[in-house]
Amino acid sequence: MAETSQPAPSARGAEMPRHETATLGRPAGTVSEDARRVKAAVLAGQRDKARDAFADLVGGYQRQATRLALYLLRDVTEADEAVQDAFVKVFTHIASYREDLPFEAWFTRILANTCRDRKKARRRRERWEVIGLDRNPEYGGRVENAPALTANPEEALLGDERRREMLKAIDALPERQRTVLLLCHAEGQSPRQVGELTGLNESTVRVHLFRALRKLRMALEGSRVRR
Amino acid sequence: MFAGKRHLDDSALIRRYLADRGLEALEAADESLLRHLVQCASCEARYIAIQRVFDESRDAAVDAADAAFPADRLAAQRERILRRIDAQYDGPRVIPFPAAAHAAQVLPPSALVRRWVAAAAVAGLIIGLTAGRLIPFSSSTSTDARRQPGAVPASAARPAPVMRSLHEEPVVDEEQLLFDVDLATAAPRAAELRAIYAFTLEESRDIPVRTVKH
Repeated sequence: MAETSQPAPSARGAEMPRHETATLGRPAGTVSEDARRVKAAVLAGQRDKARDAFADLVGGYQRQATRLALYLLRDVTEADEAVQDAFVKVFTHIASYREDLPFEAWFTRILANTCRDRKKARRRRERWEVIGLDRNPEYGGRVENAPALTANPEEALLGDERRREMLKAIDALPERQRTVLLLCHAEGQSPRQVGELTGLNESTVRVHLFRALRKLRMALEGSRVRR
Repeated sequence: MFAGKRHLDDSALIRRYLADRGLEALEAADESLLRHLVQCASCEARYIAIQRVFDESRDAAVDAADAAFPADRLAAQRERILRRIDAQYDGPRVIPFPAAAHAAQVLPPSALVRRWVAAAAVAGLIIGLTAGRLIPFSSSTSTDARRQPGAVPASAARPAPVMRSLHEEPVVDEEQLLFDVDLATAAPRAAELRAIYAFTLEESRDIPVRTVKH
């Protein structure tokens, strides 16, 4: 972070997330190429070209972005809005994008900051809310009360009791451990990247990751024994 | 740290798993861990089981997150993002206040002239009223009377017009009235007025109109 002037984390240690290629069917690096096209079109004042390139960029990175936002915010609606905000910010500041660095790192930092701002705003809102009143039961409001991943109706598609138990075990983890686990373990971010995203020390991230896996192992072992 | 003959605990296996995924670096002391895993079939089986569980949990978490955002929702999200980008290009639409919008309009020359004429008329009226108040146009006596406190104004001294009912007795002198009537009938175009005169005369006597005989 410190070694670059770009408002994005350093690309060092950046690891292409496991699911980007598999989910989107686009080769790694295409997103950065799209970002370069957007920047060139914006600087050239070619509106239509910039829009088309940006549409490709959004389509290429959207799914991973929503996953990240969901892991950080634990609320589907808020994650949706955070991703929108992040992409709009990217387009607004595309001129400051450094083309020699991967787009993912830059975007992830923007998205993480957006999610952090939303979390802060949510905490401020909750401070003024009367607990139990005007609370939408679907979206909860509190992070702890936010619908867990296991509560989504789509979860039924998993159709596997074992998977449900796993999701339950993940949801039962303390918030920081769960976030670190999902970002490192599920999204393939390095502890350093996760530290930058969450504001935690890198070694703290490693400790959280280790504890999360150990708890997960114990929870799943326990459920297997109970069965 | 890890004796060659002792089985590995879960913590050691988790460390190994993290090291395999590049998320943690094994220390020099952990070399014995690798040696034991190669030698111990039981620990190797446990490690494979742990590995499978963690991999499955990772896939379950990713699949659940993806299920929360199905393709149609992602498409809608993308559309909203592009709409916001378009709005940025078009710029914000400022709705002016009515007064501001009116002022912003360029007026035609004729309208400007009309406005100047209206403004001049208003100014002239104000100046005239002010001057009428300040400059004494009438005689000095009336000015003096106006200036004296408690003096009766000229308008108050004038007799007010009296509204008379038709049924009241005429106040004016009869001789004078007849003289006026003669004068009126002698005047040109008096023929046109005769019918009115007759009508008013009959009305004053409360005789119905249809009984009037000409």
